[in-house]
Amino acid sequence: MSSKTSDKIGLTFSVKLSVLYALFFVISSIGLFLVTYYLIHDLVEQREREIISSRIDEYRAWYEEGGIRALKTRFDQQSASTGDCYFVRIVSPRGNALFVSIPKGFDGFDATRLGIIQPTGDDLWVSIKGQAEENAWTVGMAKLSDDLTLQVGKSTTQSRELLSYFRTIFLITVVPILLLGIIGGGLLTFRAIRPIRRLIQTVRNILRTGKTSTRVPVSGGSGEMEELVSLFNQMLDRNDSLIRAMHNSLDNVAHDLRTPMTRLRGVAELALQDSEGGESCREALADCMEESENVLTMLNVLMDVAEAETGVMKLDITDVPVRQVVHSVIEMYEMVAEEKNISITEDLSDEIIISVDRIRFRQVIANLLDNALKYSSEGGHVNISADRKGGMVSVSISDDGIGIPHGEMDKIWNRLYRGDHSRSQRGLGLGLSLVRAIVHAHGGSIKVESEPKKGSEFIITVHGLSPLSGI
Amino acid sequence: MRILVVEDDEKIASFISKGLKEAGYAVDVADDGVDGLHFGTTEPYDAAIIDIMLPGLDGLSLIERLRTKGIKTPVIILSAKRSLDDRINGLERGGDDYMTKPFSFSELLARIQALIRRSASVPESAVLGMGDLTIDRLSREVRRGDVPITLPSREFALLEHLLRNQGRIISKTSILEHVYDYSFDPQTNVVDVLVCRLRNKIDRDFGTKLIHTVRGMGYVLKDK
Repeated sequence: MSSKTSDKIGLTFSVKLSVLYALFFVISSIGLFLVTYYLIHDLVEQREREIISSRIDEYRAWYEEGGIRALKTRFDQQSASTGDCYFVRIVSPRGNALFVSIPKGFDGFDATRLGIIQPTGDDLWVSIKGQAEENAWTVGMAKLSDDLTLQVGKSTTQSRELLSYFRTIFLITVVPILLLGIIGGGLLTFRAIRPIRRLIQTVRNILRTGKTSTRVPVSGGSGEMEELVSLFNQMLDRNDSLIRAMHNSLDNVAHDLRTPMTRLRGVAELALQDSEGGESCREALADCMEESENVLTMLNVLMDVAEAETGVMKLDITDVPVRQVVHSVIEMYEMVAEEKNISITEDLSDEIIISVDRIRFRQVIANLLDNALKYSSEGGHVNISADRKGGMVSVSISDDGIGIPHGEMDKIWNRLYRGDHSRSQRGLGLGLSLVRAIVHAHGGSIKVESEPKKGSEFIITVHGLSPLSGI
Repeated sequence: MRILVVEDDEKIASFISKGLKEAGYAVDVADDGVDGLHFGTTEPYDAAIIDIMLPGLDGLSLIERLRTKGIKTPVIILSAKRSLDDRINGLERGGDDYMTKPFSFSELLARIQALIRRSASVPESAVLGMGDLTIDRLSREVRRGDVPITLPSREFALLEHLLRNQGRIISKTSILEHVYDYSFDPQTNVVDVLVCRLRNKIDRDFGTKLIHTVRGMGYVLKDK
C-alpha cells in the first residue's frame, strides 16, 4: 500500500512539473507574440499616417496656391495618372462639404460621420470601420487657412490583412509550441527526477527484501540530486554498519554469557540434586551469587564495548589535567601494587591537559594499570608517563612484566581473548577490547609495544589542549 | 514504619516485601501505577519503592503526581536503565534515590534506612561504633576498647561505610563507589586488598572478629 502511494506521489510530481513547464512555455510564447504583434501594429499604423500626412501637406500646398479649384484640378490630374485611391474632403466649420472625392474601394465608407469632428490641434486621426469586417480606413484631418478642414483618408485593409495573416500564423504555430512545451517539460522532468525514481526504487527494494546492502545507482555528475543520492547512500552505509555492529555485539553477548550461565545452571542443578542440603547448599548458593555477579559485570562491560564501538556511548568531554586522572587510579591500585611489591612511578606534568570523559578515561587507565600489575612479577616496576605533541597527548603505561608473545600481539584486542599466560589470572578478558573501544570513541588511538619476558608498553593517544590554546 | 512498594513484577515485589517485613517494616504492595497513586495519597508512608515501568501510570508520572499533591514521602526509584541521563531524569522528577536492577536487597534496605533517617532529619552523631570499636568522624580517631588505631584515609572511609551499614552485607561495588568513587569493576582485587589491610588493623590482634566475608556477596560488619 505504501509503495502505491509513493508511486502516485512520484507520478503526480512529474506530471505537475511538466504541466507547469508547458504552461510557462506557452505563456511566454503568447507574451512574445503579443509584444511583437503590437510593435508591428504600431509600425504599420505609423507608416499609414506618414503617407497620409505627406498627402495632407501636398494638398494643403495646392489649396494655399489656388484654392479649392486648383486643388480639384491637380487632384484629378494626379489620380488619373497614378491611380491613387485617397479619400479627400474639405469641410467648412458648419459641416458643409466643399469638396469630396471618394475613390473606388471605399464601399461602405460613411463620410458624413467625419463631418462633425473638428481637429483641435494640428492634426487628428480617426479610424473608421466599414460594414464588412475586412474594410477599414484611417482618416487624417488638418486645418486649412480659412477655417476649413482638410480630411484625407486611406484604406488600411492591406495592413489589416497583414496583421491578420500574422495572427493566423501564430494560431497555427501555437499548437506545435504547446506540444513542444509538453514534450519538453515531460522530458525535462523525466530526466530531472530520475535520481529520485532510483531512490524510490532502492528504498522499495530494501523494504521489500530487507537487503540493506542495496545502494542507489550513482549517475555521476554534480548537482543537488546527485548529492542527495550520494548522501542517501552514505546514510545507508552508516545504517548498515551500525546494524551489523549491533548484530555482531548481540551475537557476542549471547555467546559470552552462555559460559557463565552454564556454570550457574550447573551449580544450581547439582545443589538441587543434593539431598543433604545444609552447608553444601549454602556453598552452592554462594557460587550462584558469585556467578551471577560475573554475568552482570560481563553484561555491563559488553554493553559498554558495544556502545563505544557503535558510537552511541555518551561522553561528557571536559578538559582535565592528565595527572589528576592518573593519580586517582594509582591511588586505587597502590595497595595491590604494594602487596605484590611492585613499584608504580609516574612522570606527569600538571600542564598537560586532556579532553576526555573523566569517568571513562579513568576506566581506561584503571584497566591498563590493572593489566600491568597483573602481568608483572614480584619486585617489578610500572611507569606511567604523558607526552604532548601538538594537539594530541600520549599516555604511556609500561611494565617490565612477562610481555606478550609475538604471535599474540594482534589477538589481545579481541573480545574474551586471554593469553595462555593469563588464564590463571582473574578477569573477564574484556578489559582491552573495552579500553580500545573507549579510546576510539574519544577519537583517539591505542597501540602496544611488547617484548616477551621484558615487558609491555601501552600508548594511548587522545586529544589534548595544546599549550597555545590553553588559558 | 510503613513502606509502599509499587512494582508490577510479582516475584520482585514479593522478595522486596518479604525482606522489608523481616527487617521490621509494614509493607503495602501495589502492582500498577494507579493503585500506587491511590495508596500513596490515602495512606501515610515513611518511604516508597517505585518501579519506573508500570502498567496504568508509569513510575515517574506517579512520583510527579504524588509530589504535586504535596506528599513528601521519600521515594527510591527502581529501574532497569542504568544510564546517567535516566538517573538524573528520575531524581529531577521527584525521586530521592535511584537503584538499577538487578540490585542486592541489602543495599536497597540500607538506602531506605538512609532515606528515612534523612527525612526524619535526625542529625547523625559524629561518633559511630559497634561493640568495643568506635570511630569519631570529626577527629578521625579510631579505638578498639582502649587501644587507639591509626588508619589511612581510604581504610577509614571503608570502616565508616561498614559502620554506617553495620549488620548488612556490603558489596564490593558499593565499597568501590564509596571509597574510590569508581563505578566499574576492576579485575584485580582492589577491594579485597583494602579489606585485608583494614582487617589486619582492627581485627587481627583482637578476640572478636568484626569484619566477615560473605562469599559471593561482599562483606559485613557484625560482632557476632
